[in-house]
Amino acid sequence: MPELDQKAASVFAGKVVRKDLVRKVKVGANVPVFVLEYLLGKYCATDDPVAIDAGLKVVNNTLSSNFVRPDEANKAQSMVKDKGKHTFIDKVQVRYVSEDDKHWAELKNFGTSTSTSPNTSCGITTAC
Amino acid sequence: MKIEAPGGKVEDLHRRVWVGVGGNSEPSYLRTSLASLGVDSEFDIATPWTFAVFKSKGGGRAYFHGGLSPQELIVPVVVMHSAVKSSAPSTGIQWTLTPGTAKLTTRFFSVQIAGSQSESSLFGFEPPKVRIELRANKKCVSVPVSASYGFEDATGEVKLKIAENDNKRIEPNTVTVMLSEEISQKTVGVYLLDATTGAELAAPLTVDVAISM
Repeated sequence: MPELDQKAASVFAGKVVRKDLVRKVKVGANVPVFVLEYLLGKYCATDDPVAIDAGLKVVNNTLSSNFVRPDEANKAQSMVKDKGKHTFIDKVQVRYVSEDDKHWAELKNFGTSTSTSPNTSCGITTAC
Repeated sequence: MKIEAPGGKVEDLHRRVWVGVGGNSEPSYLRTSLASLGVDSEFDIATPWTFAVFKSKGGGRAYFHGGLSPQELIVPVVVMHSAVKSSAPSTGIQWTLTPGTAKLTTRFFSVQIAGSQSESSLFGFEPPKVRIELRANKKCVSVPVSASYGFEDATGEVKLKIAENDNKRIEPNTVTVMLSEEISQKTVGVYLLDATTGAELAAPLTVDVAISM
């Protein structure tokens, strides 16, 4: 690790995202960079190579188990059907429909919509 | 009481079990995939919840196998830790704990365990089985996930060994632990414990917590 990076990691311990690791995880994964950086910040914000190896395993497992790829919507829906519930990482688009006086949230990759109460900001739970 | 079997493509059908694919799923019987039970198979398995039986060939028989009893299904495992703090036994080993980083900045933390025999012995020495714990406010908040060698997945304990080139030293072993819960404390203690007795083998390290997300 370059000296400047070491200094940054030391002074801003726990607040530094190892962007150099993004490429390691990014290979073969069609995942937005900000998702990778969030996971790397959570599990790999260190300069200890042993801890990084362990953290990368969790990041890769999280992506393979929880990230919904656009072409795997049906697989994700089937998983919810079989298990009853499952935690996903997905892009949520919310729009307000004045006729219904409801907010509609759409899980872009999962491929389903659910309504939320007015003034509800988050906390979407959905099931097939 | 006789009930209808799931049907579909039947691979095996007896009065108390059905194996196959497709067909129906009814609340009167338990149906699940064999894969979910750890069997490498594409088929599902179904068995009646009660003493009902599936309709199957073979005529009337007075007795049938009632299924697996809980004793046959469940393997009880109990992990016990002594609540009483053991006094450290005299192992004659000078322990050294070296943290991978000065601060705890993420949910993984590594510690290198090293040791050397401080008292000479006629018969050499046997390194103990050890365990690394992070404790916040005296509560264990970590689980061991790996080690350079000697790691036991089931218990998280680490069997140390003597260095090949020096029989008075323990082969250094880097153990990685993962935080098992979110912590609000500003420091955690790193403890090296005897896995068998729970005794603290070395003075615990104090590490600052700097986790920001």
